[in-house]
Amino acid sequence: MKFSLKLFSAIAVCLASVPAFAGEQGSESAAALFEIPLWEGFSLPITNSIVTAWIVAIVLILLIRAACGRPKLVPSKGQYAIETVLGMFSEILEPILGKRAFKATFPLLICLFFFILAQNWAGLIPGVGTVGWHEFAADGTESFRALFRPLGADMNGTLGLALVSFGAWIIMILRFAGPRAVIYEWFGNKADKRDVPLAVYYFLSLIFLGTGLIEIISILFRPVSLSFRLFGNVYGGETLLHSTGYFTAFYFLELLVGIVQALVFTLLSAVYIGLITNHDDEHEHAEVPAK
Amino acid sequence: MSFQILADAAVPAETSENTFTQITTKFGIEAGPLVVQIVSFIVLALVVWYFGFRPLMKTLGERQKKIEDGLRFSDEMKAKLAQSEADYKAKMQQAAVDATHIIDAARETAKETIEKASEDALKRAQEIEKRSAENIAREREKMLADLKGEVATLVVETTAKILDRDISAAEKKKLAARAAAEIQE
Repeated sequence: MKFSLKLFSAIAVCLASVPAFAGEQGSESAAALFEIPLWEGFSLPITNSIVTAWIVAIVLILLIRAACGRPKLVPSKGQYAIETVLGMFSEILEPILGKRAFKATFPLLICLFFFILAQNWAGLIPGVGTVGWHEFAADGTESFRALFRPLGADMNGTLGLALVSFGAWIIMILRFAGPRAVIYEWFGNKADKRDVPLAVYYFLSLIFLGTGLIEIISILFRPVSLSFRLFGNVYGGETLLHSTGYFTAFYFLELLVGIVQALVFTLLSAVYIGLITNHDDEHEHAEVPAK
Repeated sequence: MSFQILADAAVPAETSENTFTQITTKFGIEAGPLVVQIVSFIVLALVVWYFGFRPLMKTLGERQKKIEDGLRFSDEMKAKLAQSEADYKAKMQQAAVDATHIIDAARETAKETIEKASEDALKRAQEIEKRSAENIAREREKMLADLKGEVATLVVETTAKILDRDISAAEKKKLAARAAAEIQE
């Protein structure tokens, strides 16, 4: 155990400090390692962040399988640890999403959290983002290409996750609230005709229509804000670590940022869905005593 | 740099398309890698959920159900125990009442038996006494009869000796009758 720790530390120091391999500053865009030709004139570029994502995904699957094994009623330590996280997320997410949407959305959200967390922490492994090669362009400019890049430091990765979250949001609100409720939620006049004069009521309808349009614009920007937030934090953290040669304090800070960003992404995705589906639940609860 | 590009996006409409292209180029956003990343995540999510978290959630549910069943069973057992204790107490009270009744009945029966036995004994004693009295009376009469006979014979013989002659049968009869009458008196 001690030997492994020492070996890991030594490799970490070497990978982080060897100038020949270390990129002084990461690139905003991921580098294509190879391409998979699909049809004439079109091939699928496999970037360093995709390869990292795949490796991390496989490791994550293996770790979860190793921790859980075949789940037993009397849990092992690993199973208990994951059960605790699942239980914690269930307690946090159920009140946000509402009971109806929770069951359908929980699998996606918990996978999002673990996936983002694993990808964020993978970026802290010495060698990820620093081991690679230098390329020289035709004009003689030199650029560094990393062999592995964390998914969060590639906009394709963060935008992909944000689009998955957005797609899930559309499916969930249509399934659990329905188009009518969604349109009412955005554009509907929430004032009561009996409480306000008719002229004011129609004026408010116009106001609600305007706020609905603003709401739609803000909703359309959600994937952008989700993806750029995650990208900015991970890319910034990566740059900070590379610039400071994996300074210990920043390293632990980035460990924390990795958890916080995974949590923020997951909770925001849940809140976006819950804003409409949970609202629907509240209506139902409110109607029950009236019956 | 990135902030400048984003800030530029807010200005003139004619440059918006150009800005969008600039942003996607600057950040390396391409359709191919984007789709691969989406598919990668979806595949991972499916694998992790179906082979990792789903069985775990199922086990969690089973455990939760077992705990709930255990608690419900415990509550039922507590209720049954309380009911059994109440039944036991009621039965003990009933048994005490029944025992008192049985003892009272036994005492009553014993009393009756003793009284009956006493009465029977008294009756038998009275019968014995009566029979004894009858026997005594009979014996007395018999003795008197014997005594009368002997006294009459003695009177006749004594009279004959005193008179020094034979006494006739009529006289004997008369003497015997007088002697018997004297004895009776």
